[in-house]
Amino acid sequence: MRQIILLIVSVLIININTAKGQGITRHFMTNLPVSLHTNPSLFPDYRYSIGFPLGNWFWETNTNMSLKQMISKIENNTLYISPNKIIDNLDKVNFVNNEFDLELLSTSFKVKKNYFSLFLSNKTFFEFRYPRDLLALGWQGNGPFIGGQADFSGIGVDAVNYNELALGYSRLIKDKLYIGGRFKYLQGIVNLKTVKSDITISIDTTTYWLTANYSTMIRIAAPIDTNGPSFNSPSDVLNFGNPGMAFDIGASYKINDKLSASLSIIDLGYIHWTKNTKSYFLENGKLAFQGLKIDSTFNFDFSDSALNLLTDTLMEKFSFQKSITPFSTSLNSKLYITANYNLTPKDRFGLVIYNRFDSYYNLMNYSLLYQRKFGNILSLCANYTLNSRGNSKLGTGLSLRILGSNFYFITDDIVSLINPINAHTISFNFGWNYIKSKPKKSAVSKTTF
Amino acid sequence: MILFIVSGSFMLTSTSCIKDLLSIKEVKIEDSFNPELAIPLAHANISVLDMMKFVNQDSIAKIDPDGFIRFVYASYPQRVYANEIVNIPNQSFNAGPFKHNTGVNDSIRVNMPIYFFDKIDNNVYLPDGEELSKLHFKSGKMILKLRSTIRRAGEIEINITGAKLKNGKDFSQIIPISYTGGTETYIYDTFDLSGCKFDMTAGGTGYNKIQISYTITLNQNANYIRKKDEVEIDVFYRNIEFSYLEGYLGAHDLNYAADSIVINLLKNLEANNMRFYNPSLSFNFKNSAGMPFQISNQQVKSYATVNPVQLSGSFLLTPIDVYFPSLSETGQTKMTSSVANRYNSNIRDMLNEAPGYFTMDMDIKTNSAGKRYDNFLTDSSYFEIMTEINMPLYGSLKNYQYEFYLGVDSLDMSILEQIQLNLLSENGTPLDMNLQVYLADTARNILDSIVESTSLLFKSGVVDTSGKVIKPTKSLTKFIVSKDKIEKNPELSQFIIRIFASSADKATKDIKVYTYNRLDLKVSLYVKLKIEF
Repeated sequence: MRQIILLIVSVLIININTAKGQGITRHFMTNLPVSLHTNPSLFPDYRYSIGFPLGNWFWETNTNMSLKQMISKIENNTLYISPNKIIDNLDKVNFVNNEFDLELLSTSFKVKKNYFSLFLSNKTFFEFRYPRDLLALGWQGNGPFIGGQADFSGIGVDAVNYNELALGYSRLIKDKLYIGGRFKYLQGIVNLKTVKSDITISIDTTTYWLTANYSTMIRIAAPIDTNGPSFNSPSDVLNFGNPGMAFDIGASYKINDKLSASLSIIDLGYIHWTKNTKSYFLENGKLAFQGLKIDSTFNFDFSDSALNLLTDTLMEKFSFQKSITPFSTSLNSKLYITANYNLTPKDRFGLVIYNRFDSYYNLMNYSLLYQRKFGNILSLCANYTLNSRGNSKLGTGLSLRILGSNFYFITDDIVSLINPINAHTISFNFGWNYIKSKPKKSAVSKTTF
Repeated sequence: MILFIVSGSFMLTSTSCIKDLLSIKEVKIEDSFNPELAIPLAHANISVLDMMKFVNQDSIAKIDPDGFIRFVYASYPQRVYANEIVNIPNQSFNAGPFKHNTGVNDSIRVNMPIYFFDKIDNNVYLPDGEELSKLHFKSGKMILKLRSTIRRAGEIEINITGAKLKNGKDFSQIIPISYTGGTETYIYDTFDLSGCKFDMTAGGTGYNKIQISYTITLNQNANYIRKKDEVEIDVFYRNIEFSYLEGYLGAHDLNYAADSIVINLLKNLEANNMRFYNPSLSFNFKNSAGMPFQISNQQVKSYATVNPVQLSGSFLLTPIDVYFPSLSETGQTKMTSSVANRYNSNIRDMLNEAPGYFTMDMDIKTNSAGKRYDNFLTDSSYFEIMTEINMPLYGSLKNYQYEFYLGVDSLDMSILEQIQLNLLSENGTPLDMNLQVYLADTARNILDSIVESTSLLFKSGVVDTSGKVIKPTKSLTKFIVSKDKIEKNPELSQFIIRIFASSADKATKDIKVYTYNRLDLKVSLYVKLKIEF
């Protein structure tokens, strides 16, 4: 008993001080209503639940580059940084993103073989992408790119904030198959999206002639312009001028009493922005620098006027065109493929393959998970995730049923606060739901989970 | 239990990591800044003419219709205008005295008007034996001075045979004679001769003559006419400028100021390093004066050393008779060119000595063959002479050099790891070109050289038997300056860049250069730096 208490305390501390990533742990803790966010076909444990207002929130920061990959060493109170090491560790396109979901209202309930859910959330997503070649060019020069090209494609910033009203329904079919979906009405608030940033600079093998090809498009829907913010009243952002819709779909199949599999795709949708819209774009631009042209006068003019002329030419070449027509942006869809194996009624193993679709980079995650239930009160989950970039992380989750409520604490990267230098993800998921009774065993799975 | 152990370990690790982070007082860059820069420096597509601009010799280039290039050095043109050949000095003539016959009496009363008349041929003086048949005045004055002791008023009428006024009418002037008392009467009158045209033949009987007639009428009055009373006339021609002369205009020796031509192109060459196939020296004349000019005793010398070489050959055997316009070609300019080339002179040998300059002198005479009366001059007539040395770019060139300097003393050379200069060329000229880059100190003392290869930098295009380029030659050359070389020469403050040029095939064949022979050049620079933090 003492060991159990110590374990609980330990895990609590760990969860308070750590973070998690991409909601994989949450996805695997299928007893929680919040798991519907990533698989709408699930039947959570409770007959019904009501989320405590503002009591469920999800925060996650991801980067493909940990601090350790940037730091060479810390010695004698001195931090040593190795730019070469940083560049070596960078991927083609790198990112720092942050996602914050705040549940305003939520409820879910089960009626026989049907499960209904309703969530009202505010969602924020921010991402900054930077290409490795940009840093390499700055530190190593353009020499390493001779005969090839420096590719800056993908550079940009995305930021979006919107409200989401999600209505979910799932149903058990012939005790084997669960199918479900969620319809989401979206209310866009602000948006900044780098829709396209295809920029390359090629360097000829012998002449070193530089040729830049570029196509960029930035779309903004916010009371802001090149002159700065123009925010006058809350109605500038809180309106229904930027409607959107999205779907989540999922299915789970129970192969036998121990083995099951599921597939879900979420955030298939878009927001149509009509308020305060601006699009800035450069289409199929090309700029070549071939050195000074020596003409018949042999006149090398390095005067200010010549430099000004060059600057003027560059300014002209990089003069963005502007449009104020409405536009649509799609959500970043995500894919989850899951396999569960119930070793015992209290012990469950799982494999989750997760991908988030992005124009400029691909991030596939492979997770091995284990969940154990301690009576009807406590459930613990741990997972190990390896992503396609070779980064790994250890996630944990705790679900506690007490005083008619369910509390959960989840992180996808426990190491992040214990050893922040190694962290790629900082995530934290907290929830408090009022729940009613234990689900009827006859209506759902015979398994504990 | 396992989770507990794992969690506990993480907590301990966490404490250590955070402690390390919080203890950081300084941030250092571990790596040296070692960028590699690939810079497209310049690109050019230049002709031989452009190269001549680079060495400030482009002004001497002339282009033939087929694009063939020739270099022409010319003297300043020397020009003689008509009024420097023939000059009409001021002229003075007189007539009278006119007297009335009083018989044996000392004085008589004459109750009628008195008339005097005379017609005189005035011979115009010209210092060089010119014999004018026509004189048209551009400007000038005729001054009439009359003195009379006859106490009467009247008038004098002047007529010049064959002379026309500006308005085309016959030259006739009537001047009143006013008598207001006293013993003498003076009349002084001036006529503007601008635009007047005089026939100087006195009606076809001679040259240089102004045939003038005076008719004096003195009105009747009560005064006696005394024996001693008379009328005298003086006529002066002043400040005569002609607009046209015709006749025999004299045999003149014109002054030619000895001249020289500097040949900058050949200054840095040794003898026989630049050989022209058929260069030439020409005397070019422009003549709008209607009279013959003859050039003789031409003295042309070239100076490659202190001992000049004199122009010789059959070219000098015959004087040059310069073309001139006939009377019916008045207003035209005739061109004459007399050319000394490899076939009639030693000019090729003179030029192959790479002279720094030429000097010229000559004699110029007019009407050297004797009198002829179809000479004419207008006020705009001139005679001009210019000497040209013509060097068609057909021949061979060996070891032509040009150098320039690139200062680098303001650069921190210690950060340089390596410099590599790439030259990608497509040579469509018939010239082999090479380059040497020297490291030099502030006094331009050579410390070291960069180019170690003896191979050609820009090999000439392929040249056919006629000397024309039929195909360009491509090449890529890289010059590498290592850090070692820079460190070995700490006094380096500038690069001396020396260009060598020779015609194709080591200057063993004659080549022709056209404007369409071009060198396409792309210059790029690779620099590797190393900066320690």
